[in-house]
Amino acid sequence: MSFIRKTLDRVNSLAEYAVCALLAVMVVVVFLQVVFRFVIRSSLPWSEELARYLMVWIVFLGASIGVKRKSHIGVEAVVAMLPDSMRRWTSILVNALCCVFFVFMVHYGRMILRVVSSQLSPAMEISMAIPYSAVFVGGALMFAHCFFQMVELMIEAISGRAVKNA
Amino acid sequence: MTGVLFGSLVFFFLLNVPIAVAIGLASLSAILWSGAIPPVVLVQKMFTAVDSFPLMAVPFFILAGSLMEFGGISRRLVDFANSIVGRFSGGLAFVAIIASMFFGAISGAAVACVAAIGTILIPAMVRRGYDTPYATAVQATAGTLGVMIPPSIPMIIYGVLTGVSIGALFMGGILPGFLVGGSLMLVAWVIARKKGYKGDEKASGAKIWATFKDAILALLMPVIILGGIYGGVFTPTEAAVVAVAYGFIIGFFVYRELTLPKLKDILVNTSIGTATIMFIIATSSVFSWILTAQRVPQAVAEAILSISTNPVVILTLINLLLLFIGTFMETVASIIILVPVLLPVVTQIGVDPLHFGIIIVVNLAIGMVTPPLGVCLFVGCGIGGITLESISKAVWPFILSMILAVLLLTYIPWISLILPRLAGIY
Repeated sequence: MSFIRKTLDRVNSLAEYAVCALLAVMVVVVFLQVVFRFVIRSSLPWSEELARYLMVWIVFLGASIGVKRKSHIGVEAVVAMLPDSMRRWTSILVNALCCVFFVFMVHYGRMILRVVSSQLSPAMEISMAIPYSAVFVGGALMFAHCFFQMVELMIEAISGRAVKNA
Repeated sequence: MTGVLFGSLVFFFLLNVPIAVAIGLASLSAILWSGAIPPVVLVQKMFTAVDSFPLMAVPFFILAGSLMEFGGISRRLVDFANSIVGRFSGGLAFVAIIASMFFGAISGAAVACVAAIGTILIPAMVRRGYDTPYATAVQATAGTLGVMIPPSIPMIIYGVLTGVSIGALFMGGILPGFLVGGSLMLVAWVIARKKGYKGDEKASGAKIWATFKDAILALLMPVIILGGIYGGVFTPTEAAVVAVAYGFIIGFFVYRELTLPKLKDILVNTSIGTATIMFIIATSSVFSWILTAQRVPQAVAEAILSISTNPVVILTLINLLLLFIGTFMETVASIIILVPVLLPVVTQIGVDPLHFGIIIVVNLAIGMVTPPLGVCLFVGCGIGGITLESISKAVWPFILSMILAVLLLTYIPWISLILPRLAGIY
């Protein structure tokens, strides 16, 4: 268990550095676009497309960090009224449901790669598989974090220890 | 199919499944149940929703706001506001509201506004002898001005969704923001008078000038953003990236309060904030695509218009619906799900799409401070160190004044439309 946890922590911290870098590059690229248009008076043909693909990656990688940090909010009103023991099992169920969705993201995210990998992007002429694989990679990371959290919750529920974040 | 879509959505929401995933799962259930749509559409729609240049304004405005917050801007805005309005009864409450308006002109989010200004002002108000629930309620409601005063993340999303110019929406939000800010100040003043909260001594002209000079670089930021957009120089996304560059230069080189480790946290948190919003946008786009394909908006429009075609009645019903949904639902998801359904209804009775955008944003902003659920309340309570019960009582007068303001906005379209029209951009 602790080995898996450490691995996931390491993967997540890599993802954090990655989104940092991607976001910084995205800022620079769009800023350059503005500078080129007004100062040098010629526009960059690739800047908008590159920035968009960077954002796609930021969103799906960032969403996986969000799963790890539990920052995707839900509607807590009803669950908050349940007794502790039931709340624990509902959060296990919620994790399981999320895992189902992430599995679909991974499966169809991989399937769509086969379709788009032969297409080239209009401006930079890179394979469309590069931006599209963000869905697959992000989905896989989200699944990994979510599944591990579910297993942890189940161990806690069965062994009767208190839920950490309750 | 529509039954499966909505039934499963409600079920997942009640279970507390994260909103983005709940919406995605509901869409997936409907797709699988129908059997006619290939599920790969889900991934394709999610990708194209996020692959958008106009939406890039969202991460940039979040980033600009947080560079400003950690770069020492919020404190300077507070000092400047204090030198102007600090002397009135309940002066610090005025400061909280005005500083939130300044901050709202830099950042596009309400929660960021409550956190940035509230961490300074809630403790300051308590030290001056204000009740903690009162202080927290003032700040939580003032924070909602962050989404009304431009720039505004909900308005960006509404603009992308409906094709209404984001620049025009921004401009349309200015007077409504002042109206709500003004009514909050009125309530704050009445309560402060009753409770005898005294103001500071009147600040000297020299002091006002000194704090103004200190804050001028921050105050220039909205001028650059809005001026750039309305001068036709920038798109909103480009204006946002200029704001990021500006915030970075000021925080790093002028005020020198930003450091590299701080910068890493800011970038990571901006990415997570962006991702949580955009993940909702991604799955909701599948959801609203199914809604449209099933012609749900038309059915809803027919149903509502069969009850009444009187604009006042319909707008009142819609306001009630928005207030209710806003209390329980996250803002972005509410906009993406409700707008495609409600916009055809209101345009049929002659409501302007820009005006409707403002109505939606202000209503949903009220939802952020309505007990028992409201993100701004939670953040405010966290800062003030009080429970939701104790703020719930204190916040009602403010909510009522905001509801009054929203009614004015709803029935007097002029308030939202005059500025964009005068500027000739709408």
